[in-house]
Amino acid sequence: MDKSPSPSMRERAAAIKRTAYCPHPDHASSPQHVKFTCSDCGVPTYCSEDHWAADYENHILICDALREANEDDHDLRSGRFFPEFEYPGEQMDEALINFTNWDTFLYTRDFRAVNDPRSLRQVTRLLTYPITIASFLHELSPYNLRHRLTIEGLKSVSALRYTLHPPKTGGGKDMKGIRITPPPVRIFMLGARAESSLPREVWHQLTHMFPISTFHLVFIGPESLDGRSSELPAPDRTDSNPFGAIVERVSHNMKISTFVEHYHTLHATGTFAPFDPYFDCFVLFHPGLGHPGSAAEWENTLPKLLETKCPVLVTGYTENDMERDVNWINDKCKGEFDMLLEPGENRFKSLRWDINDADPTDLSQGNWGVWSFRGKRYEATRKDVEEV
Amino acid sequence: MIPTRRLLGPVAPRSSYYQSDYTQGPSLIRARKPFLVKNLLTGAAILALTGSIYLYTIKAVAQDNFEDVTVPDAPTQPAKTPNVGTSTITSGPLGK
Repeated sequence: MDKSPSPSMRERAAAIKRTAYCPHPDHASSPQHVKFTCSDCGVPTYCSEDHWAADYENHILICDALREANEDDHDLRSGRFFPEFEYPGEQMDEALINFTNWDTFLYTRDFRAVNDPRSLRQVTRLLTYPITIASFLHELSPYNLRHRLTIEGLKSVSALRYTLHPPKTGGGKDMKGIRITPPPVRIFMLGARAESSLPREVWHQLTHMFPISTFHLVFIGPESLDGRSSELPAPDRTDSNPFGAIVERVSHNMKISTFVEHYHTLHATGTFAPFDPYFDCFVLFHPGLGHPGSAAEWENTLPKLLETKCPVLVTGYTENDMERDVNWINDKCKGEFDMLLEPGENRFKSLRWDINDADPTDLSQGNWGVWSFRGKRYEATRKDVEEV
Repeated sequence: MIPTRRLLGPVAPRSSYYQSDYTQGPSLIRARKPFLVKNLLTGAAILALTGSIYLYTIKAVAQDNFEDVTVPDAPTQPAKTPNVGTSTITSGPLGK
C-alpha cells in the first residue's frame, strides 16, 4: 500500500501509520504506531518486522482478507471499465425477485452477469444499502415468521407492504387515467455517512423493485454531506427551508432530501410529524449505538424514535458491533421496544472487506448484520370498573 | 481445441449469463446453486414416478396369461359343406 502507484493509496498507508497501533501483546502498556508493511497483504500492520514475525500466527488469519481489501481498493482506482456498475431498469410485473442471496437477486433482477468475484464485491458494496432495505420491506422478503421475523415485525412490515404493493388503479397518462396517488413512503436514514453520497442510480434501484409506489429518502445526520460539500453546496437557511435541506428529485417516483442536522433537533420542531407506520420507516446504517464515541448522541435520539412507533432497521459492521448495539438498546429501554427482526447476519451484506484506518486488524463488512425494533405500542385495554 | 461454436461467434444477442459456447457462466452456476439439490431430488422423484408407472403397466400386462380363454385340445373340424369335394349327390338328374 505504501508503494502503491496510486497517490491516494499511498496517502491512506500514511494515514494508517499515523493512527494505527501495533497489535503485538508487548505493546499492551506502551502503544506504538505501525511502521512495517507485510509483504503479502501490503498493509502496514506492525511496528517492526520482528513483531510481525512473532505474531504471524494471528496475522495469517486476516492476511488474505487484508490483501483482498487492498486489491479491491486498487481495482477501484485502476480506471478499468466497470460493466458491473450498469444497473437494470424497472422490474417486470411478471418477473418475481428472488431474495435468497446476492446471486439469485442479481439474476432475477436482470443485472448483467457478474462473473468475477472482485466485480461482485465492488457492486455489492454499493447495492448493499438499498437492497438491505428492500429485502426487509418487500413482500418476497427472505425474513418471515419461520426465519427471524417476529409477530410484531410482521405487523409492521405488513403495514408498509400495504403501501408499497398497492393494487393496480388503472391509472394512465391521459385525463381518464388520473387517480389520487398516495403520499410517498418516507425512509429516514439517520446518522447518514457514506450512504448519502451513493450514486443516485444505486438508490433508484429501490424504486425499480416497487414500481407502483413512490419514495422519499431523507438523509439526516451531521456527516450526511461529508465529502460532497463542494459538489452540492448546502443552501442558506431561509423561512421556507429552515434547516438548509438539499432536495433532489431523482425521478418521478423518488425524491431525496439531505439534512445536515441531528435528528432529535428536527424531531423537536415537528418537521416530519405526523408519523404513520403505513408510510414511514427509519434506517440506521451502522449507527454504532453502543459505541462509546457515539452513544451519547444517540441517547437523545432513541426516545424520539420509539415515540414514532415506526419500524427502525439497524445494521452493524460486524457481529460484535451489532451485539453491542442490541445490548445498548436493551440497557436503555428494556420493555419499551418490540424486536421486529431478530439480530443476525444480513443476506445482502457487502462482500467486500473494509479496512479500518485506525486499526487494520479490525476488518469489517458493510451491513454485516441486520435487525429491527420499534417502540412498543400500548393497545387500549378494558379495565373493569368496580361496582359501587 | 476451440469448440466450433466459439469460432462461429454469437448468432443473436443473448443473456450475458451464458458464455459464447452456450455453456453456463460462473454467475449463473452460483445463482442456481441453492436450488441444485432440491431440483435434482424433484427430478429424481418425477423420474421414479413415471418409471414405476411404466414398469407397473408392463408387469400388469405381462401377468395376463389368458386363463379365461378356453383353448380346445384339437383343432375344430369345419362343418360338412355341400357341393364341395367328391360328389355326394345321390338323387335328382345328376344322381347316379
